[in-house]
Amino acid sequence: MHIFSALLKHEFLLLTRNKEIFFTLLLFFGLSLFLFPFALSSDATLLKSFGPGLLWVITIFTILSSVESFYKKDNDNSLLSFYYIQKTPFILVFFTKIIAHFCLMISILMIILPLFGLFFGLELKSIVILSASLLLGTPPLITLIHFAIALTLSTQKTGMLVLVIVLPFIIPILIFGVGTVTFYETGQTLKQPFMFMAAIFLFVFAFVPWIAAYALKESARQ
Amino acid sequence: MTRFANPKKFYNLSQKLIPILGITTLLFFAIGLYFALFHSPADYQQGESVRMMYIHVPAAWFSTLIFVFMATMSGVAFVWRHPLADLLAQEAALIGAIYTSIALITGSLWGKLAWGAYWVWDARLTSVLILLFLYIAYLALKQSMQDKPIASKMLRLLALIGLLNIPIIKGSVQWWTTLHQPPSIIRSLGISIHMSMLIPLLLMAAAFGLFFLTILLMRTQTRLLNIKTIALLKKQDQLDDPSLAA
Repeated sequence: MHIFSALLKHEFLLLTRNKEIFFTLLLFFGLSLFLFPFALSSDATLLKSFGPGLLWVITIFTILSSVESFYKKDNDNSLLSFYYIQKTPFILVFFTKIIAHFCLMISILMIILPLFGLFFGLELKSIVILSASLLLGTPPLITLIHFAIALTLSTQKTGMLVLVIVLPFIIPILIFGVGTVTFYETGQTLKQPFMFMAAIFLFVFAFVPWIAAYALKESARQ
Repeated sequence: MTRFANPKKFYNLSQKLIPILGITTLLFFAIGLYFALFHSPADYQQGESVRMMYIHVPAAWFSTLIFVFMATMSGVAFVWRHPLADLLAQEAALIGAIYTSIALITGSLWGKLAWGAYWVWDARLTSVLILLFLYIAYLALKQSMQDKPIASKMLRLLALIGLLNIPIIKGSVQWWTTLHQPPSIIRSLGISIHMSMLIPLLLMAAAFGLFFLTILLMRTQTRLLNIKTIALLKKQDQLDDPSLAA
């Protein structure tokens, strides 16, 4: 257990020391949301129907653009190889990285969501439902993206490759995540999309972390 | 089965099999295409464009089947560490991607004639497109890893997780299109089929399957030769310069 807390402390220390990444992501998120009304239309009903989808897509891109920072340093200074030699369980390494990334994303979303609701004209109830779907959807999303980077870690250029690998896997999460708000707006029962999201959550966590930890371990061995 | 897991035996066996398979493939294509183009009726609704189906449907069947084959081989390689299973899975990927593209291209051409649009966001079309992305992801990962020993380990994982994800993708896309109300014409794909059309379809499916096997064996042979050449070159280098051996 104390390995886990030490690893967790390491990840959070890195995050708090590198405050730049938080503000960069926050700015990226806010500015890209801000641009869409100009590109699409300022029509209130259109914004309302496009809004949740945009928020989800930008969330995905924000996670994708920040995932490399969780591994680059560890890979460059051979920390992962050190873990391998020390026989540190890689599943713990993987989980601490996911937890740290999740906390980073949640702190960004907590600032963005009220502003988003204001600018895109969503009611409080829609925002609450959107937050719930994000809360349920981002952990499997982050897990899948970290899985993709664990696969590509031994290659030099990971950026585009991670996007290509992860794309087929995240489409279901995107569909159901946006579906929750659409269901609410059209007055249908919310049980169905949320059940599906919960199912994906459980399914992803049943398999992917272990396989990703194995991939991480194999990459560390290189 | 395991007797042929030895690369040398596999090579010798495939050497004998490739001509036989190649000729049968040609035969099946010839008979199948004759039946499909001349000896089967035109559809009363779709007219002559229905003949596209004899290419489209086998390609679509095999697009999923090849992924299942890749994942099975990856599973075999994962459990029993057969290097040959890895090679088979990796060499099947490009063929699978091409079959998927054939299915998509013929499907969209047929769609232009039948529905008046090259692309509709229908559940089936979308999930085939996502399958193509899965193949592209596999190929991109394979390409970027070159021939590092770790490559086959990572590719195995991707194929296995990809297979687990195919039903989820299909289900979610189905759910998504019912949310968006699909055009109802698309259901005409699910027609029960008459014998005169079924026979050429099955012949073409057999031809596509045999073609896949032939190309797969040829590609795996090439890959084996490639690996052997690299090993021999390494050995030669070590003989020339003993300091490299350490």
